[in-house]
Amino acid sequence: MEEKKVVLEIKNLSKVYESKGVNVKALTDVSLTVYQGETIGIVGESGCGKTTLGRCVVRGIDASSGQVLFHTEEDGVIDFLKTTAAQMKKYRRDIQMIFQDPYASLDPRMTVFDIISEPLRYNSNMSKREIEEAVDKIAEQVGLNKAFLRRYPHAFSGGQRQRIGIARSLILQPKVIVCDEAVSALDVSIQAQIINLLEDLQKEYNLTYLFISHALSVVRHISDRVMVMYLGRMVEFGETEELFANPMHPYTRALLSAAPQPDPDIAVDRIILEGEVPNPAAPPSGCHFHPRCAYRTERCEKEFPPLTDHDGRLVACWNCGACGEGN
Amino acid sequence: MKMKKSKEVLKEYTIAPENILEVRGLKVDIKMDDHILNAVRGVDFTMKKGQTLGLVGESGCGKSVTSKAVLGINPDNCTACGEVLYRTKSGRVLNLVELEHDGALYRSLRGAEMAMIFQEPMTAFSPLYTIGNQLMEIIQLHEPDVSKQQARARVLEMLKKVGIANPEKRIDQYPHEFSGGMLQRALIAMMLCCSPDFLIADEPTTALDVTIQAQILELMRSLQKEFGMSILFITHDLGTVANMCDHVAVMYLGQIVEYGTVHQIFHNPRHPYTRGLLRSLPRMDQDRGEKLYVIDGVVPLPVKLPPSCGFHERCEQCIDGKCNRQDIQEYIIEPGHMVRCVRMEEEG
Repeated sequence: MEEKKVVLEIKNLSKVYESKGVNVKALTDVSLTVYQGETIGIVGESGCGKTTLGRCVVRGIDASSGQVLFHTEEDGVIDFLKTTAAQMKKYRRDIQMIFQDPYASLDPRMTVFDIISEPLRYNSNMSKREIEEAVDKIAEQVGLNKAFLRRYPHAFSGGQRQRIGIARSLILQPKVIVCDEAVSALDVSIQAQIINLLEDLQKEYNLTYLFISHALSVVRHISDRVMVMYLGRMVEFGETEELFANPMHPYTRALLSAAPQPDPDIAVDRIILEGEVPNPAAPPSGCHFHPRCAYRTERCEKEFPPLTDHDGRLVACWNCGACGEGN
Repeated sequence: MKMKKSKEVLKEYTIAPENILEVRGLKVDIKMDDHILNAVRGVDFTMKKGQTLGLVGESGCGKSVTSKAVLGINPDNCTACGEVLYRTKSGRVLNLVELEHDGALYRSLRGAEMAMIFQEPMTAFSPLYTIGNQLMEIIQLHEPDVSKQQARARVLEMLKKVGIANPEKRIDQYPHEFSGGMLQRALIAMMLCCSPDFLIADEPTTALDVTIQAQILELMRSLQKEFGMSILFITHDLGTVANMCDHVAVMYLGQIVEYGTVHQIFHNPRHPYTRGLLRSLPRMDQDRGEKLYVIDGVVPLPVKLPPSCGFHERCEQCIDGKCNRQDIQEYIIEPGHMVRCVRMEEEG
């Protein structure tokens, strides 16, 4: 097997928001090594910190502590959190983002051509002519009709708009793309088009994706490895196939069983979790998941379980495997 | 919707005794600035008492417009024609299309007999009034004899029923103090206040997390059992449909292209669009790495459509000269299973 090249290392990343004297821990101690050309799925419910993680990685927001190490060819390993804004500009082109809402993420007053070419105008010394060629090329690749590039976003459907967003994020030839719910707002038939497009582009450019989504079936389809988050922490991490076949954390199990399957005959033993995701400003003691967990013990209420390695699977649970045949 | 001016005596209609709703040839046009959208182009379906019908399709297929036409809450630039025959609690059958939309009769039905829950519970409540206030309003509006204390007691009971913890405290809180899942529960409680027979649920769980979605669907199932409601369940999520519905109607471009029991639709889909939809879903039980099936193209705008199958431009099995030339009739391929596809002529 050829050696995998590390492209991004996230180490003990935490983000604390302060609001009216209350500290909200949006992200706590998340570590992750990402290899070039792979897709990491990041799943969890709203408020679990998956978007915060994505934003910290592209440095849309500054993390409170930890490291985001980006491996470059020319400059070695760069810590995004220690670079100045001016230095950062050089690396921003390598790491881009695709957003959820294709209606809100495009400026309605810019033509599609301007939207796609804007990153080039700010990050390269290309001539007008070269920029036009680059935009034409990328538009063709993502399946946008070149004749419509001078139009405004309102003239495009949701799927077309998402293609515009993808073209814009690709035009700087990034290495890593953070896809934050990139297909969630799309219709089923359009969703399939965009997923296939993302996969084709990945193959062609050896792209690395951080694929943030709450849609489990989509994550399973597109990801090589999956990270499950709950209330700002990683609770389980492993190879997609294995994780879906044998989830070890009780939360992962519940999450998987809750996803409705498009088959009336699949009788799932649905684990219906009680209650909702707790307030991250006042997280439960010990394991954050214990108030909703059917397998909780006394220890779970007091101490937070560390991530432990089970044959390559990382799980943060004191009773790992108690709920399934795992371990 | 345009109001029907006439004050004439309503005609008498009959529907099958096991049905609560029969929709026949429903058409809805939406008047835009410079064109008319034929949003619903002749829709027929029936709903049996106590059962759930799933209305599925992608955005723009007319599923929401259809359901709003049943409730008579489409905006003024919409005109509906056809028959929407509804059996009231008193046993009378009304053609809802004939009713004045803000007339006394329709208003006495909405909320009391037929109710709707919406996709975004966050925007369905007014932020200015407490949850209790908004729920009590429904009861007092439809039952003026009920005192404030009685209404409050009933609201408390309903909040408890939908699984809201600590209802005594919650009843006096404002919507912003509720989470999305809690608001959806409150909305369901609101709709239950007058124990309606007929419920329209328009993407009720789309905005919610999966674990909360599972809770809400479970709640809806148990309430349906308890109260015997008929539910028109509108969604684009085929997974939810498979789990919730007895019958399914697949809509495309303002028409129902396939109708059947949930088993017929999921195990023996016959319309190319239904098949495409099911195949384009990433599935948990499938091999990964396989490419997803893609339905090429996009849904056309329903403006001045020539006689043709609405799906023909995107259909892999389009027969030139037929599918793009003539309107397609309905084919019943087995009892209760309707397919609007010309290929059924040969396949039978």
